[in-house]
Amino acid sequence: MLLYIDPGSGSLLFQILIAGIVSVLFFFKRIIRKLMFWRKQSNKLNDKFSK
Amino acid sequence: MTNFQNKEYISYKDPSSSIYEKNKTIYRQINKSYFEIYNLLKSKNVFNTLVKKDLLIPHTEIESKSDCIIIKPEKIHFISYPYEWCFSQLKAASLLTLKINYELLKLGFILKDASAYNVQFIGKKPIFIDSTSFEVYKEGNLWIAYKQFCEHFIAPLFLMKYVDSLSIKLLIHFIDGIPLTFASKLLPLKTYFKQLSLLHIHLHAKSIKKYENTEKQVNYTHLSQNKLLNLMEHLYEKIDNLKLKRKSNWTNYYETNTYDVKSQDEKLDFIIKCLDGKKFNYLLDIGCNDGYYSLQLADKLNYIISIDNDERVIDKLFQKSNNLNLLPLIIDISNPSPSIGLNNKERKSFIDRLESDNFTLALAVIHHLRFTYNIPLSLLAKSFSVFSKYIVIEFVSHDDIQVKKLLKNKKDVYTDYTEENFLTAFGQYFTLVEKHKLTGVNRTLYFFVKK
Repeated sequence: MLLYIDPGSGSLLFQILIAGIVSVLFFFKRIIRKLMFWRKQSNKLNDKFSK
Repeated sequence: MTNFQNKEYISYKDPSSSIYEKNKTIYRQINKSYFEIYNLLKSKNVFNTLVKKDLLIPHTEIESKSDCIIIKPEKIHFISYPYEWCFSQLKAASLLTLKINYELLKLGFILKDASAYNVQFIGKKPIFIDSTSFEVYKEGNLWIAYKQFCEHFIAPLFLMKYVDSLSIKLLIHFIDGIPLTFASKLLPLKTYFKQLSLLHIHLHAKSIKKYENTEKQVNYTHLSQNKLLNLMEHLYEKIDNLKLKRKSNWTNYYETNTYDVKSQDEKLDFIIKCLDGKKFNYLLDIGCNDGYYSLQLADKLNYIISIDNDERVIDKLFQKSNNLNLLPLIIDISNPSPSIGLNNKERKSFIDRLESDNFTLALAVIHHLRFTYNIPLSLLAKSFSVFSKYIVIEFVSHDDIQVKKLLKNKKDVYTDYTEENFLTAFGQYFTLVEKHKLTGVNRTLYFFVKK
């Protein structure tokens, strides 16, 4: 990789932790969204990303 | 062979490419070390995909040699910098960066930097301009630009929201983004109870501090693609929900100031008459306030830069406007953005970026510059002549209500502020073409052309 910015040791280690926490939160959030399928909000995030 | 001059200082950091300017056109030279990735991006149609989604500036390859490839990106009317943006502009730029990264990850690539300077505005639309910020993504890789993203976007957004919207000006000093340890100290206690600031500023800053002297190298391969995509979604969702609450005393000049509303149509008619048949680069609306005149003129002109020193009015104008030819920026004309960075050449000053043949609008600002900022009329005329080919200027007389307000606690030492002296001062640099006395008020519009 052509790295020219310093990603920072603390930041890299922290990122692993945060991405893990966020993924656990998303796991439950998605289950809740699926259970509440009648509210039609399951694709809201993807809609934001895909223009 | 293309012979480039004026090597810019703006791109010395990234070895992948450098920016050059020739005859007012910007070129990007892609260096050999980036060839492999560039060709892969081309073969996988990444550039086209991002351009089609309106995320990346289109470019054309104009030269391909053994040691470098030259591409010409589409022209951006005016280059602006993050410390000139309002809250909504910085937020839009951060969401664009996350969108690009999300799209790239799906295509097998990733952003190797997340600098706010990689985003520019075409009027309302944010667009990513660095076509060599992309790196090949391998399953398990971390996002190395995560810290930079927090420093360039999350920290200033939170400082603007929870300290003061003027905090954006800190970026003039911190060219590489606001250090998270510093931002964490400035932010109030309540930001510890907000998920985005708790995680990405406060705890992140603690982690940076804890490991700042570690000698152990961190292994880059620890994160699944799914987790990384989740992180992008989380950041996007949280930043998208960030709103800057304005205090109730926030006022709209034209809504509260009926005094000016009366003259609005008269002023607009005069400006339209002056604009007729004139050729110029762009309209520079100084002290644009809520942008009434800029918005009214947008469909008649090529490009408008509306500036004001109040972040609140610039934010309101940015949200209100849908024009791709109207760029609102926070600029104090009595102290415009300086040149910063290495040799003071990395980011040009606002005045250096302005070309000289503009049509300047200076409505109801001259009295502020004279009475509040103490700028003599002769200096004002000289300063305006640097960037104006044409200028419509509203002379607010000494006995105007607004002038009296400005002088209520100040000794009136401004005996030089007369219409006669104003005309002499501007007459040094400009030729008077037309004047129009506004009905019922002590104000006159003047239209000058540069000598």
